[in-house]
Amino acid sequence: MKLKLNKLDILLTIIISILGIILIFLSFKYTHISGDKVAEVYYKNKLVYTFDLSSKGNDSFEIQAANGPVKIIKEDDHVRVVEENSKRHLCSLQGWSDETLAPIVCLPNELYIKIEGVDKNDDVDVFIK
Amino acid sequence: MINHFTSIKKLVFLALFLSIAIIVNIVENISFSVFIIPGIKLGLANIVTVFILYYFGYKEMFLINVLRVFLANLIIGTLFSTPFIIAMGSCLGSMILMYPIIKVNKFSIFGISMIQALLFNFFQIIIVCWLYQNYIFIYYFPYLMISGIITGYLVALCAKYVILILNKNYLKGEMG
Repeated sequence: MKLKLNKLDILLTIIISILGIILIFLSFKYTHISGDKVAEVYYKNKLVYTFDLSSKGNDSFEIQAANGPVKIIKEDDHVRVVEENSKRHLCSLQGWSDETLAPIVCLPNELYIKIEGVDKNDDVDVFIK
Repeated sequence: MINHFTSIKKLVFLALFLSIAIIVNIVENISFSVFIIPGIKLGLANIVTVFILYYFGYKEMFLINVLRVFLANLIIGTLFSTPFIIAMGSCLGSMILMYPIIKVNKFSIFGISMIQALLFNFFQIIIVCWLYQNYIFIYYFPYLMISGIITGYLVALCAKYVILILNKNYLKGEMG
């Protein structure tokens, strides 16, 4: 095995970088929600609470998770974890989130919060008699 | 006698590098966290992995990597927890897929390190999606692709200098 960067390595770097940038761009384009949103709190894969991000005002929710209590707060259209017990406190350090692409994940507490769009369109697509 | 001496020397070197990898892994777990995207870290223990691959080969790299993940988690106290399942699953998955790439021998240590980082990240995402039964985490992968390229390159750069320094000063003709 060689120690010097060769052409194949450079080609790999370019391909992966371009692919990564395209995928980031596409994921932003097709998953950005401009309408009403909700933040769903899941603990052990079960939906335990839902914050309505379309309404102004504050809300909070506290749950006894795997490592102790986890406190989640909502201010207007974004949510964050303010209190939790984990080794690196990644989910509380992440701060506010209001984007589908930025779920708040707390693996040690087996908890995650995902942002979803609300479909308010009640139109019937297919009607079967 | 010579054969015995060589194998004992190899065993000592592997044990030494395994202990270095475990310490680096634990220190990185405790202190470092590049907080641009949550959960991204440099993977400094992979310097040892690349180094072992360069000097000893695939089999030894596989063994050291699996032992490193197992023992580091045992010491930290997270054995058989969710982070351990993710780390071990990603480690095994990436190591298995690395085999044909290493055997082809077309990439330098830079390419190998970058591919390893990418595969590790890929399996990490797959396992997290499977554990949490939610595909949302797949959206992390493009960011992890970019970060894998950067961290893979930096790890290979560090490994290259470690190899060059050790080659020059200590290990010339000693390994094998």
